Amino acid sequence: MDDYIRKQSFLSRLIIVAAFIISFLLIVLFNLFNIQVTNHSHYQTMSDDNRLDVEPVAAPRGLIYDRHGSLLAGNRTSYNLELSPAVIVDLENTLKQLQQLIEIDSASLKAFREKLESKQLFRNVTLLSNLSEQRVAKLAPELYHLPGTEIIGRLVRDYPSSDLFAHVVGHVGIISQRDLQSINPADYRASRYIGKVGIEKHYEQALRGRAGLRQIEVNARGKTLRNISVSAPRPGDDLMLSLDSYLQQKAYEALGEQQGAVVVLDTRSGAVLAMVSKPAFDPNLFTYKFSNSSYRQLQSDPFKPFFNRAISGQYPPGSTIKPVVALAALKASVVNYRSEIYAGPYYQLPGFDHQYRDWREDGHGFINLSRSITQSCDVFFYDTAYRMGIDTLSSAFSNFGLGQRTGIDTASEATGLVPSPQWKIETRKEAWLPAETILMGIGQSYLLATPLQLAVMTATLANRGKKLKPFLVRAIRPPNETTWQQQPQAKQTVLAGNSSKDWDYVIKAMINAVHSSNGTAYRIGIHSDYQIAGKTGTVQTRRKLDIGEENLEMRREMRDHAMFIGFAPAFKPEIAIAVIVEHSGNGSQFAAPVAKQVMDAYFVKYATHS
Amino acid sequence: MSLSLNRFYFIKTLDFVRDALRRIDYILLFLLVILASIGLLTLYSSSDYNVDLVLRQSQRLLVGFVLLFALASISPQTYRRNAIPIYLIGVVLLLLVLFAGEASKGAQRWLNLWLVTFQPSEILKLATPLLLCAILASRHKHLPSFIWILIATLALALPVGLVVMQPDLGTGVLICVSGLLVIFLAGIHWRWIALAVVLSIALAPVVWHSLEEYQQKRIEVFLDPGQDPMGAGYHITQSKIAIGSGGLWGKGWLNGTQTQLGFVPEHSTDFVFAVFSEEFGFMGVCLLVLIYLAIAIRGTVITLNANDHFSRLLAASLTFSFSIYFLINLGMVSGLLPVVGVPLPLMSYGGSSVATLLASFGMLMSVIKYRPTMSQTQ
Repeated sequence: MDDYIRKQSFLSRLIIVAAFIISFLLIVLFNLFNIQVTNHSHYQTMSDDNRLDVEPVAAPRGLIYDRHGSLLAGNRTSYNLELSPAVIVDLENTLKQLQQLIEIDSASLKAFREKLESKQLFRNVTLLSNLSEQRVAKLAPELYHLPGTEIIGRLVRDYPSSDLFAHVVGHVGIISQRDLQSINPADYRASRYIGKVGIEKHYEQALRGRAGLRQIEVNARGKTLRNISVSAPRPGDDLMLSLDSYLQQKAYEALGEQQGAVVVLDTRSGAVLAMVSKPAFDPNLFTYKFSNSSYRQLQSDPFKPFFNRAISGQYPPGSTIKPVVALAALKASVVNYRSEIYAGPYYQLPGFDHQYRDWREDGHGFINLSRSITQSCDVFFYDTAYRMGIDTLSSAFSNFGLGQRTGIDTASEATGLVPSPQWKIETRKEAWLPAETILMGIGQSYLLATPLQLAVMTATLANRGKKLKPFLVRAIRPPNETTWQQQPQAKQTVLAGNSSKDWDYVIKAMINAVHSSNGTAYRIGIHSDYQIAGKTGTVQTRRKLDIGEENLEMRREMRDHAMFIGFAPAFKPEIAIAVIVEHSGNGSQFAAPVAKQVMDAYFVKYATHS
Repeated sequence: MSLSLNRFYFIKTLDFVRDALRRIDYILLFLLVILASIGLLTLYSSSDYNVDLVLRQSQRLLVGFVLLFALASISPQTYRRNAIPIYLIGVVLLLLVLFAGEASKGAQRWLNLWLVTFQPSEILKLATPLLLCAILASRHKHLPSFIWILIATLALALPVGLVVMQPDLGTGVLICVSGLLVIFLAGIHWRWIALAVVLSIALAPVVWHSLEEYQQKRIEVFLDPGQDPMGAGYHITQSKIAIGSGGLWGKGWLNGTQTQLGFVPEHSTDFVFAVFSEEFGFMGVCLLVLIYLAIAIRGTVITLNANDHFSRLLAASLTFSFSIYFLINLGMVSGLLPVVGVPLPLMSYGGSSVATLLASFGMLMSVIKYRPTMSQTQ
């Protein structure tokens, strides 16, 4: 009986416990149903978010060719040793083990630690870049033991001609904080590089293409396991430049070790055939050959190798401006073909004592406009400029394109300067002096022009007033296409006001400057088998009186800039050229021979002159 | 002479084995084998196809089943007589662990004995309810008096306290639950239950402060998993994502991305249910629940057929403890209960818990084996 009572009590309590357990089981099942069936899509999405990641795929940058199809800027694979901090458990230990396998220089290690602090955890950080094939071969089999380390091949810009096209093609560099302000970071998810100068900068949009996207599966530690889907990147457009590698090479060699610039234009189209600035540098320095020490050395070089003298350098044009002054004077009827003056050793403004000296110490004697160009008589042009007045002079220079950008399709072109009385009051708060007018007659005073502007001016002279816009890119080829799309020709402007007799007159004077025995550039004309029209210039950088004659030859920076402009063949022009050789001496001796070598190269190669 | 003696022992052993095999509850055994097999399949998937791990777990299961056979052939009365020594041995080992045990993951749980390392707390999972059954089933003609309830409560509190001090909250909770079950089923007066509820509410803050910081953290995170999604709440969040993304039919065996890619933590041990749900879906879960339910029902049938009060209490305690382990693990993994470290019975990877569970089923089978009808025929 006792057991019966105990059993009854036990059974009722058993039922209570069972009921309790069953109700809890129902709650658990209901909850699982909610999670698995009702809210399945929510958790499915979260599961996909966990394992799927989207990664940008870099687009190969567009290639840059010269006019004959030789490669000026390409892409090469650089092998980097990259570490993913999210995967590595013990970073210090991993680094220690890597150091046993391969030498890691302290600069790379320092840069790595800096990057490590600034980057997001889930991104790869580069430890060593541009590994040689031997180092890759040595390292690759060992990395298996070091999770989170891998060798990744990435395309980097490669400039096969190294220094030769350094300035004109430009180069890419690592995106800086300043770049970030002007770009949409979404366009650069896959790339560390951006066009910094030159064509690379100006055509950045076309060259960079569009990054692709790759959906990848990752594990809980952020390691990529496989591709789910890939949308291919669109490579950048290829560019064909107007440059001719051969002429570029000749111009580069002709300048030698001197500082200066050469610009060669095709007078028929405005195409830039060569554009050299010296000293140059290896643009690969900014991509795979990067080293801090060589960069700093170049940056602190007093000759400023990074500076593109051809379009950013601004120089007083000196006597090379005289043909333009002559045309303006003829147009303004200040002189005619027959007017002569007596040119002594110096010129004096009426009512002033100051002597404005001619380059020839004994003067030129009785001289007309034509011979003044040929012999580069300063006194004649002092007088002409004085009689024309500053306004006429300034507008003539502006008509020939000075003081304004040519609009060439590349970055960092300087404007130069055509001064006026108004300009002087605005910027210097001083009145214009008559002395400044007469100095402008020989291309000095405040007048500044870039070598490119001088080349355009020369081409305009060659074309008798037809002014062309210079350009560097001839054609563009979109990715996966075989045909080049020609760039549209810019419309040309024609300068009015001078008769064709005027043009003949001035051009003949320029021919004489090269080919007649008393011409300033006779040394290059004497043996030339084609006709060149040219003009030398020797630009004072210091007033002789300030430094004393005896020091002139000794201190480089005191020496004059040598200049030469010219075109050929004189009566059926094909090319126009502007040369400046900094602090070398007179234009006849130092600049004209450079131009002659380039012209010779052109005519040997193209041989179209009769 | 020695040959005949050997032969004698051989026949005796053979008889014993034959006897043991004849009296095994094959329905229960079949269900347990099915469950263990599902566990091994899931383990193969969750361990990233680690065959060694699966083989090791199979060995443990084998040891567990041998233990089951051995314990099934011992009579309930033997258990009853030895309840106190077993309990005392367990407590002494537990004390040894606290002072001389090996630390693992910040807790002193393991005792290194000659051949095997094991957790003495596992012994107490069985020894404690056994002792309580022995105390509360005898010496009273009616329901147990207050003084025996008090003794039972103290006998329960001692091992629970020692295990929580290790600290192993999960096992402590399980021992506590199985002991309370016995006390409740043995017939504690409703008045005492009400008093206990009031007392435990009053003592809750004291208990809270005696918990380790990480244990407090787990409970906090359980109450609000969003407060630390990448830290302590990460476990439960990832586990729920695994379960939820499994859907109705699951992603398929070996195809659970949450598991295979390492998002679910502890996926071979405490969170193995998340792996199972991700790969087999809600339908798989229902099937699994049915198997567990069948085991519980079979246990209840054995309970109802027990011939004395001690056996009844013991069988009910073991059956319901098993069911509650299962439910606590499911609740924990699916976010209904705090993460207290309770493994999924027979499916989670780990030696001690598998052995203890199969041992408990051995004891359960001993109850049906020694029913009076059978002992009469013997």
